Amino acid sequence: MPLQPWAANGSVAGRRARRRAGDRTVRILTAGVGGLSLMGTGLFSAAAWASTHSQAAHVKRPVSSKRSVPGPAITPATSSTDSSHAGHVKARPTHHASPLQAPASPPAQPTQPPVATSSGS
Amino acid sequence: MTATTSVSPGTAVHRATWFAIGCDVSLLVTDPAALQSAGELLRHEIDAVDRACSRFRVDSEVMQLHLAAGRPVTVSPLLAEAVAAALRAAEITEGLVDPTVTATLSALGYDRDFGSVASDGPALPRLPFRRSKWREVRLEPGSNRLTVPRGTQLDLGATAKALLADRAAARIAGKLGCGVLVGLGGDIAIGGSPPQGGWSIRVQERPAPLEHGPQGNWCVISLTTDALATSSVQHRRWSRGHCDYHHIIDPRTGTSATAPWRTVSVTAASCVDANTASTCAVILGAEAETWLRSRRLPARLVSAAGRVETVNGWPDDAQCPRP
Repeated sequence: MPLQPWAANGSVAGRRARRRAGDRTVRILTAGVGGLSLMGTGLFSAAAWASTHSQAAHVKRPVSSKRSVPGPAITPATSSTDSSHAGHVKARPTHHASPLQAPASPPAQPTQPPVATSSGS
Repeated sequence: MTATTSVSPGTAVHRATWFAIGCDVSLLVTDPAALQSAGELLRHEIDAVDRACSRFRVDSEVMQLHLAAGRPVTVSPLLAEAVAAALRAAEITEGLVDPTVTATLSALGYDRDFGSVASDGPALPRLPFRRSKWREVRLEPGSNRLTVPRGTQLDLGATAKALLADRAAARIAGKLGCGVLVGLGGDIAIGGSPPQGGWSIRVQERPAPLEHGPQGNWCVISLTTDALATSSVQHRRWSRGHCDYHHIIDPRTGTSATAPWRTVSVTAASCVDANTASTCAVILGAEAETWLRSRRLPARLVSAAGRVETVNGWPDDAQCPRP
């Protein structure tokens, strides 16, 4: 299993994650959900993020365990200017809703002057 | 309501325009005798959707949901349809088009009809990050029983307006048997048989009457079926302190989206789908082109610098007729 991008940074969590690369990735992602809930309480911080992941690396949990509820995967902010919210929610695809439907045909070049407008809203 | 008739070579399109629900409303029909009845049908739909879905009316059905404080409520079929459309949009965009960002929008200053939002004001305090709640909204299929988490407010604005366009176009075409185009700001839905050459539509970044010339980057396309939506961060903007905000919220950051695309137009089988895709594309940013390509949705994207990209068969701007 490939290493998560954030695990390549210089943090303690990242070093541990690199050492444990592979099947441990599942645990780190699970801990990421914890990070999201912390964000929701307004208590989230970079320290909490690092702490959460550091603890996650020690959690002994069967790799085969599955989350019962689909949830978002989280990757950290890509820059220090990315606000205190830090996390970036990348939800997993779900399979309940019907997909977006493409048009029967693409728009064409007009042969008449415009009779209506579509303005940004 | 103003009614005009514009005659183009080989076809006549009969048009009425007015302002409602915070945007310019355009109604075009191919049969002059149908214009008045079509106008009445469209006004009825606008009024019904506004009473069910507006977050700016204290008497709207969606605002009354707060009184339930997290308990299930049986809602009208129209509100159930609008909520279902919003939840589907959230699900298929993986939470990016989120109907529960209302508190964030309000905290940023967009807490009333946009015409009443002050264009400038003092800097905002640091806002707490609000976790997305759309997965906790429950709509029981068939029974119209809706549960909204306590403290969560729904903003159905974008998808409800698109749904309104879809419903009105289908109803007018079905009842009156003519070709019809319903335009609500950036959202356009088409029904019935189009005029010869299709519906010629000017896609622009900011609202402006057809007679006043285009605003911002623009093009003209022709549609014979389906629907079109344009989402832009060029419109519905305001400032607080030295920060600029707009109405498209990125739920990943809890503030206005800071994307490389300032305007995205999409055609899809329905206006709800087109609106969902155009809004999602603005939020997605750099990944938007790939996302749209993979869904076979024709689209036109305008970058912050004014560069135009088109995907999936959207006509090249270079071939667009210019006055």
